[in-house]
Amino acid sequence: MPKPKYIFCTGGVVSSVGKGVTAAAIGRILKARGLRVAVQKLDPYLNVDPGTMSPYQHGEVFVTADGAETDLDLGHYERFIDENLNRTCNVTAGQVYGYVIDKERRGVLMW
Amino acid sequence: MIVEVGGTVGDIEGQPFLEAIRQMRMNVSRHDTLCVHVTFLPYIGATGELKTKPTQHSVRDLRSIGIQPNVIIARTDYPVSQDVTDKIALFCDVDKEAVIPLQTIDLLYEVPLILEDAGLGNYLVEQLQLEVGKPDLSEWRNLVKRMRAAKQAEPLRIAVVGKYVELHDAYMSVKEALFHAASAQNCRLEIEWIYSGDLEKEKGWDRLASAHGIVVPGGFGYRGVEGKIMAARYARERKIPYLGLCLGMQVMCVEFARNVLGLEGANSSEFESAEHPVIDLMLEQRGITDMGGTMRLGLYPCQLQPGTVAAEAYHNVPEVQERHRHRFEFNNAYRTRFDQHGMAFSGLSPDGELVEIAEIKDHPFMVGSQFHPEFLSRPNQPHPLFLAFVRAAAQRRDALPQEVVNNANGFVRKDVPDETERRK
Repeated sequence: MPKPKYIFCTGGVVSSVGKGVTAAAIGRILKARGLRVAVQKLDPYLNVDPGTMSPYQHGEVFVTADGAETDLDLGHYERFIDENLNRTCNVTAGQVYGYVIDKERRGVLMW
Repeated sequence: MIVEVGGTVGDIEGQPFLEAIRQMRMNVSRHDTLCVHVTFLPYIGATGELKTKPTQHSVRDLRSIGIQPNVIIARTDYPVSQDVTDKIALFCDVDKEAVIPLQTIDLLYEVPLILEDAGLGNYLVEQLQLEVGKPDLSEWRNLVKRMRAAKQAEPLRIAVVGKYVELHDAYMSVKEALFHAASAQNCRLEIEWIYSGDLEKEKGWDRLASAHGIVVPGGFGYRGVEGKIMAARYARERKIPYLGLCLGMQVMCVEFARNVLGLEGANSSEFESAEHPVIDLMLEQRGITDMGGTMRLGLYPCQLQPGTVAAEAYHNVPEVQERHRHRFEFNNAYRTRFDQHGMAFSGLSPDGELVEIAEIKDHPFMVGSQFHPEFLSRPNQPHPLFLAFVRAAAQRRDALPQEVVNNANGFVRKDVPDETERRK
């Protein structure tokens, strides 16, 4: 497999200006060139996933084929790039910290 | 790989991700990563100007973390002149052709075409040194053209009866799935968002009555459920096309139990310890106390029963795979009685134990699915159940003289009192 290339999509000024749709649209124009495309969302909140959040706060919970409860932007990604994504496509800060803390408690990080 | 970072640059909680991106960019070759920064240009009415200063500031924030954006996409509600994009390029240190204005539009699916036509695709390919062929967006262009044409076509009113209707984002995939299906059949989709709690208070019935089809989407908690049950009854009795998703299928079963089988105390055991728990907690779910990630989630097979509305919608394939998110299911103790009185179980799990799709036999289209078909609908491939539902709704629209629909609210309310009465 050729080396992957990474496009990072950040947002400035205000939220909810369509960063998700923009990322999804970039996916589509690259796929139109015959490239294999995946889209991933990094969410900075401390929840492990949005599954237990209020829909008022978070909007829809999108469910992937492998059963992950994810951000609704993954719905845009799948609809725009026409590929099935999986649980690795939505990473939250809560997942990262949970993973590190779990390792620390098990003593895996001890020297 | 496209990686979107949630939130905006400058939020404290997003910093670790941005730092990780900065470090990663050092470890891979210069041509392997690229940063696209999406900003917003506010419009000052007094001077009639689009302001670039907030964009400059957010780029400065990004640089202070050590990331220089390569592309800036400037979202705006107004047309952007070349002067403005040139100014952004100069002050944010980005190539002129890499500043791309993106004006708000009514059709999301046009965004790839706008970005492509602004040269973004070629710029990305060049910067990332990708070896690719010529872009082929012809299929997508046709799709957008068809959607545009459908926006001018005859309207099709679909009532979405839910709990979180003030926030349409809560039903994003349902909204999109309806739009895909309506566009594919050249109908202009008009969604009537109806808060189910309003129906309980005799509000919103005129809007429900004006709909050509009714969707009851998924949800949790008891608030507003009785209103959804009323909507299901209304759809069943008046033979209005109805699509129930997850909870929408469950309320359809509760309604049927109460008003067709005469089981007054029927309900889902999610809401009360009902006399007739026609919807009950799944066996596998008993004893689970953690709420996070413990539902029946993801792709599971559903076998279709030949000769049903659902099977026909799926073009008579024997089995489909659909995405799920639920804890409760149809209680099999009631299956025979439901079946004898006019409800067909048109989709079952392969072992026959779990009801995946239920439908009313003597009805043009009243189908409920335990799964969420909306998650599998794609603009170029509308979901079969949504397609069949929209087709049925369009048939109803075309068959009805307009005044019947418009005057329907006069006699709707007769349904309401006995239903609300009973709950007191």
